[in-house]
Amino acid sequence: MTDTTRQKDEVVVAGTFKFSDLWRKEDWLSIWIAFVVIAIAAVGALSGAFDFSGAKFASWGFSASEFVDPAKAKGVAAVFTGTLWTKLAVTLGAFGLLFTLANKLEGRKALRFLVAFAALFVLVGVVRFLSAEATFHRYLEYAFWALLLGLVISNVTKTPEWLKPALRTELYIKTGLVLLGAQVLFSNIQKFGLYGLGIAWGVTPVVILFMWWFGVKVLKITNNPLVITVAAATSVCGTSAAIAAAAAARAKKTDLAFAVGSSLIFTVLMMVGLPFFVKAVGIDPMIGGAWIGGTVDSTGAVVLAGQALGDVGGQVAALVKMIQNILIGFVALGIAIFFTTKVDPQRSADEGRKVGVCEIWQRFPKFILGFIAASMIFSFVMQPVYGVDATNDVIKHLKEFQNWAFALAFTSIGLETNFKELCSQVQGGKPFQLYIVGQVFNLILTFAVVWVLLSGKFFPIPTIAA
Amino acid sequence: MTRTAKLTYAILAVATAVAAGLMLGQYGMIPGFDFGCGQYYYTDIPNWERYFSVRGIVDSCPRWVYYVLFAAWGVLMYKLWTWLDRYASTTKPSPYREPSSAAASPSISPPTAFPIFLALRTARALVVGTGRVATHKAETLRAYGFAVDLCEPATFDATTVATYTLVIAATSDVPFNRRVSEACRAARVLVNVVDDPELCSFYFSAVERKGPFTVAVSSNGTCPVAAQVLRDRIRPLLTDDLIATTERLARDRADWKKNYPDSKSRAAAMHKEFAHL
Repeated sequence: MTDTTRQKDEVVVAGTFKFSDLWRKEDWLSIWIAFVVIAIAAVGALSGAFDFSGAKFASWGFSASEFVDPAKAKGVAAVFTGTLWTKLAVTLGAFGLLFTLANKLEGRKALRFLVAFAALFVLVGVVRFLSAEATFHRYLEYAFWALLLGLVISNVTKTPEWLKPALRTELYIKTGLVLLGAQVLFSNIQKFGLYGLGIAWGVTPVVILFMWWFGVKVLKITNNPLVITVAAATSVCGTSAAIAAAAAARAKKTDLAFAVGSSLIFTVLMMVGLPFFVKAVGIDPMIGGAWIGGTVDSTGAVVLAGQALGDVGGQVAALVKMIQNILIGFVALGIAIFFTTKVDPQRSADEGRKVGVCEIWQRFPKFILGFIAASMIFSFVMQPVYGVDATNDVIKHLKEFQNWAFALAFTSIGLETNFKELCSQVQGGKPFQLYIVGQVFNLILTFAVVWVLLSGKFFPIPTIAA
Repeated sequence: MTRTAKLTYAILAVATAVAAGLMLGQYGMIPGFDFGCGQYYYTDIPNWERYFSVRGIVDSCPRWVYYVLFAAWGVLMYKLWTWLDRYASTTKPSPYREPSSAAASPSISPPTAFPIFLALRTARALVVGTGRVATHKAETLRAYGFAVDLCEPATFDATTVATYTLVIAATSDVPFNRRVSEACRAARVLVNVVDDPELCSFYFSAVERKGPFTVAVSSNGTCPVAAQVLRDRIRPLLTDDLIATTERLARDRADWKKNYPDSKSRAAAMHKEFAHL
């Protein structure tokens, strides 16, 4: 039933584009916020005059472990250095200012937002600190802690009213995605030759279509945004793709939580299980690496699982995954076009309304244009003009701002979600069935394509330069 | 809970337990690699240039070939998606429809009435009743050319119903209404009992007439007011422009048939005439 109320809320009154939309609507504001951050960080990094970057907690450990680099494994006290406090202040200052300004322009109360945002920022700080713990940070993403902490607060003690003005999930997600766009370097598409293009781009959309068909037609899941969010998480690259797909299809927050949750559990299994299987069966490391690169959701897990097969496996896995990383924006663009031109008008037709071009444009998630623009600028202007190293340096300065934006979003989701509502959305475990069946299909199809391309039976086996 | 749901939750529970076990035992980690599942995007990995800023495969294939292949495959897959989606929506009502209110509340029967427009200019109708509703129904039927007989309940003769095309019972006496309904059904005469859909074999609809159009909306006896509301919403769609275009097309019917002998292309061309509306 929440579905119907949501739809009602979201019915956009068809109107023409107004120039004031550019500074009054969330979609556009998120683009400007991200571009301001990108511009300041780029000027600072390229000129070397100042360091404008978000805070990152160094990894620390509850207990010493053979896997923790002794130089890095610090006690809790050692994490909180002067530099960290400065960067925390920079992050809070930059985001506090920009997001408050956005709220002001949207006609909300600025001061109430700022107070609530400062409190939310502290919560997110706790989330990011916890997720920096040595074991946690290698197995669980901060999304897990953000959702968990938010859910616990909202369901045990109830989210206080004064905090609610800061729970602007969509604004944070969209801003974070445009910042992510800058990290999508299109030129990397060539790094693993036509092999990489075939494995990453050949298989991914087929898996998405299969999962769409399976979810909508076989499982009969009426919540279409959920289907496409889970499909993107399974086939492209886990959390980041799920966020982009959910925003593009305007999925509910619980949909995103499901997709991220499923991915979280099965990524651990696949990261450990796939290299074990490849070695046990005696599959060639290059084939195994490409297979892992095309199927395991999270990029970190891909590199680690590939590396378990040796350097070649790790390198091939990384290169294939890199191309999938590029796909996010284009997959999100396709999803946005599909949902605004096919799904939404069909829903409206069911309600007896007709959708015009104006309404399609009104509904179209504009932040995707910002995402693509940022990617194009970094791929085709920044990289050719300033070189690879300088571009990488700018990206490193943006990275933590993007992570903070997503962490703010996931914490907000947790704080806004009622546990009962979350359970009622499970639909007899259908989202999980969709993930499992889709991932199995992904594993089979990717292996088939990888075997055809890299077994040497049909095409020459490539050599990779470091 | 269905068996599939139980199985799903069982798999999920096992998967979660195994994942937690792997994490506690630090499986899958490699000494010196301080990352894993938690780093979902390539730039999350410490020293990511080491893995991603490499030359990779040195091939002679120019870059534009990649871009063309990328774009072509993307467009093809999008087309396939829309095709798949159309296919899905023609094989079942609508994949996007939320469970309808009819399915949610079992008290409302599914629409089973067959909508037709009767064109019987000299037909006879009987209205049983003396109230305002009865006279109103009689007037409506007369407006459409029916020869209407009005009779009081006391003088109703069940043997005469067979001489009418349709009968309306507009009394508040439920057992009597039932008798009228049964008599009509036995004689295969269409019958409408006011305010009692159960006893009806046809319903009146909320009607809007303008130009050559008749719009009739029925809620199948569930809620006549809803049908009226819907009819009122449709009314503004019957614009003068629409009527003028329709009448023009009807007038030039012969020309259209001559110019477009194939009925499919004729229909397509006619559609375009309405595109501006």
